[in-house]
Amino acid sequence: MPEMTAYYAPETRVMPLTLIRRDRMLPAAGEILVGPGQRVEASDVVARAELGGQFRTFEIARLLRVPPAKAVRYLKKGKDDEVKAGEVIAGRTGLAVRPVRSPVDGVIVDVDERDGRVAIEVASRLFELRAYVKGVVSNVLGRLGVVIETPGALIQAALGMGGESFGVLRSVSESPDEPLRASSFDIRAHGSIVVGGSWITASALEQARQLQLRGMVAGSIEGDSLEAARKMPFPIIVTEGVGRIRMAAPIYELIRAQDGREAAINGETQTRWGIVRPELLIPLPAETRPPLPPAVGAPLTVGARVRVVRGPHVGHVGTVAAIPPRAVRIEIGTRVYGAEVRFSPASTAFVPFANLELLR
Amino acid sequence: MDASSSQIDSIVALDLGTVYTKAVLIARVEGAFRFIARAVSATTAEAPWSDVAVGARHALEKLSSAAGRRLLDERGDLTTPQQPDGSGVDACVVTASAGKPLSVVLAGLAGEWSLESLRHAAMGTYTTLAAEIALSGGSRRAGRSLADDRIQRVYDARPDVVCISGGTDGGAERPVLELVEAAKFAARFLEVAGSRPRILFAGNASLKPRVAEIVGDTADFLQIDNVRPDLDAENIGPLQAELENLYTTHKMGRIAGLATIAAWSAHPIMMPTARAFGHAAQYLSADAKRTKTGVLGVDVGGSTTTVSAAFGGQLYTTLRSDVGTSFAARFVDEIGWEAVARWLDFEVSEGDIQAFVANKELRPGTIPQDTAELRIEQALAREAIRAALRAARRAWPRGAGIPRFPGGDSSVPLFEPIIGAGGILARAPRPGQAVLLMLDAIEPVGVTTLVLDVYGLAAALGAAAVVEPLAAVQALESGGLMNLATVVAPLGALRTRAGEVVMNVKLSYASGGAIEDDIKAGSLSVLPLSPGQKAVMQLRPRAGIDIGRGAGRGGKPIEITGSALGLIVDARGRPLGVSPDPKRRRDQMKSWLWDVGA
Repeated sequence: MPEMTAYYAPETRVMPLTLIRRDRMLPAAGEILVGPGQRVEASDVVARAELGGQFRTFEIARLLRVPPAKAVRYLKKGKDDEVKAGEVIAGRTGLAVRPVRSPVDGVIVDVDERDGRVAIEVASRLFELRAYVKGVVSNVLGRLGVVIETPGALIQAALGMGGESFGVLRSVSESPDEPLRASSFDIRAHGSIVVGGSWITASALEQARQLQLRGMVAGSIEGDSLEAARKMPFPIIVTEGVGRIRMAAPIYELIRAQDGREAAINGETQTRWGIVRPELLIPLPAETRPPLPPAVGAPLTVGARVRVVRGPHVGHVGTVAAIPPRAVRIEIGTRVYGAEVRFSPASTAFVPFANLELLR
Repeated sequence: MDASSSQIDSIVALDLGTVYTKAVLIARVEGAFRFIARAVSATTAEAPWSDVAVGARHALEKLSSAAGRRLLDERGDLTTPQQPDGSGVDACVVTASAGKPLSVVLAGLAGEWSLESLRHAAMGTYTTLAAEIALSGGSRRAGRSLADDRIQRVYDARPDVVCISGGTDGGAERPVLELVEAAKFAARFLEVAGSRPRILFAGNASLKPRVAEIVGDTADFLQIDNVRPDLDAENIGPLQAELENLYTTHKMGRIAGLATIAAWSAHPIMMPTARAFGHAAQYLSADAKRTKTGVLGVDVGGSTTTVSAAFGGQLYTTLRSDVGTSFAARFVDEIGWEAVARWLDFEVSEGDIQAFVANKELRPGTIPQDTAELRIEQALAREAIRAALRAARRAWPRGAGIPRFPGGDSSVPLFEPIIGAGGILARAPRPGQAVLLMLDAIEPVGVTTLVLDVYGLAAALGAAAVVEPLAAVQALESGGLMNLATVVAPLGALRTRAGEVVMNVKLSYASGGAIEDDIKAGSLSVLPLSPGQKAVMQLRPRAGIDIGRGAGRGGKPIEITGSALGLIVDARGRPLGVSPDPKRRRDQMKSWLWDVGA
């Protein structure tokens, strides 16, 4: 069946210099502490909010032994009033019925007059939102957050664990093929984001915890180490996936070239229903404002830079040399459409479209 | 011309899956509907596209090329109705499973009664279980009262829907009302936090007025027939219908770009893929010829595995919205990596399986290039189907109306045919792989036929039947489904009689000649019967062996038609025995793969 038409591959951004924009959003409306045009460091608190979400309810009527409809008249506090732990919220004076005291600090958020029930939202904790990336506040989004902008390098990874962090990049591998082992880094890496080449070993994770790293970046991580990696107190991102896969050479070279610079790392990963990709951002000085990342949706064409994401050439980067007009039979016996990818002047291979992504 | 007209000559069916968007063209050729062509493209529901119409256009471009028929206009919109020059189509039907499942909290009195019925109802459409609250067996957390704990659990789950059941009609009252109160408070707090869950009450019918009074206008609220009106009766249909309605309007309906696709047709037909797939099974089961058996459909998608069983036109659909061939990491945690590894003919480690499922989730559209990766994907699909079937069996009604294996295990219904769907089956490089996957996962009994929805037509036609019932009938009958194999799967003491001849099979070909085979217990035997051929099958089971006609009885000869593999006699026994010894198990897998030419 002649099915050969344009193919639109998934895309990964690996850009030495682009305009990075990040929305920094509070989980709930709060206070914005910076203004447009203000320069911020990664560690600066740019907004804060009080977070609640824990509740206690009290059946005032039952506790005071009054009909539900009459309970409200014995309330000592009203809706939106703050209460302290031990403070009386309802009581009948002069009678041998114990008053109702709040067991917690909080705010009365609901008074159900029909049921004679009161709800308290437990005192909130203060949430502080940091800038995460060094740059300039380009916009303030009401009471919800800000936008921070900076020229810099942008590397989207495949998988991440942990949240956000920032620190100085420290490349410790001699090549993208070199695994990240405990012996790869020492006390000098304390407080930095360590960058390896190929996969992260279990011993490296333990060493990283002891040295209180700010983050780890490598090509991959073994399946056996995933659980341990998720428990690390800092973010980890891998550029290729799970297994023993070397870091794609252009990514390795890009990060290595920025060794010693401050970077922001985010391990948050969501693979569907609102995709979130882990990333490494390296703010860079730029005399002129660089362009934003290009729009997506370009079909795969000859000359495009692609990365192989599955199969025998996984992790290799090359350029599309040709797009055969017919489906090609692969090892498992299926005929699939794909591209001839040139990895080096002497090395070309057919790769199914499904196992390619555009690297831009 | 529009979709409500009787003059529909061509239909495009688009299926928006989590990973792939499939486009199928069926059209009237010489008076009857035929499958013309299909095309597949990546679904573009997620960033950076965030618009399913982009992927739909990509698929339609390919479909145009495959069918040699212009389908899109210069703006990239589907042309409807069909034009005098042959471009465009008369109708477009859309099925979707790309929407985020409905997040539900189920609250009932007891795990084995009302909550179990709520689970059956919730698994009838695309849902994820955010929390379960059973009044019995609750525990306090963080110094809270039980009532506050319930409220907090609903609040923390931030569900789309809270389903409450409990009490037979006229039965328990106070405990049920406590659940309603908890849901009410949680809904009230959640509204302040920016979400507004719906409350569906499907419990003790006599409480309806009081429940309405408690909830008041706190939340969007609906009362539905009790899912457990008495202890021996389950009535999940009304709740299931409401949940599907909520999924359709609040999840599927909000898929970015779906409105663009809807605008391509004057009367767009849109429905969840699982329902459309179920329609196809239901249609086949309503066929008068199939009154003695049910029809079973299993569809393994990227993120959902669907089981549709239809008995005499009555449909039972069960979904595992948390497991498919692309998204299965949590499922593997649930069943253990060894459950996947046991279907492999080579040695793997836990790390290998973890790496495989993690990478597949990261790049769900990728395909296996080597045999080992293909085998792991197929092993995962076996477990996905088995898990969905376990859930489905619990929801199938007991008693009359379900055709059972006479004299055998009463939990095993008889099905004819069994339809396999989904990329992992349809794209299996060899038909034997699809056959073995279905046999291992479904463990059919008696005499049945395995068919493969190789073009993804079942759901498309299930939806198309809404606008043109004839299209489904004619396209299915004109080779829309691929006949994989006729299966004979006897019951009896097969595992204890391993190696012993337990049955004789004779195939007498219509074209002349015959073959005969002595079937040994524990074996998987293939007798060739090519597509287009016909033969008469005579079965002679030995004492104690039952093919559905009573132990030792072969019954009358049966005429069967050819298929990709022909006749398979699966004498491995039920339940299927997989050796606990890793080395012997791998040899067993090799042997089975060899037997079916996989």
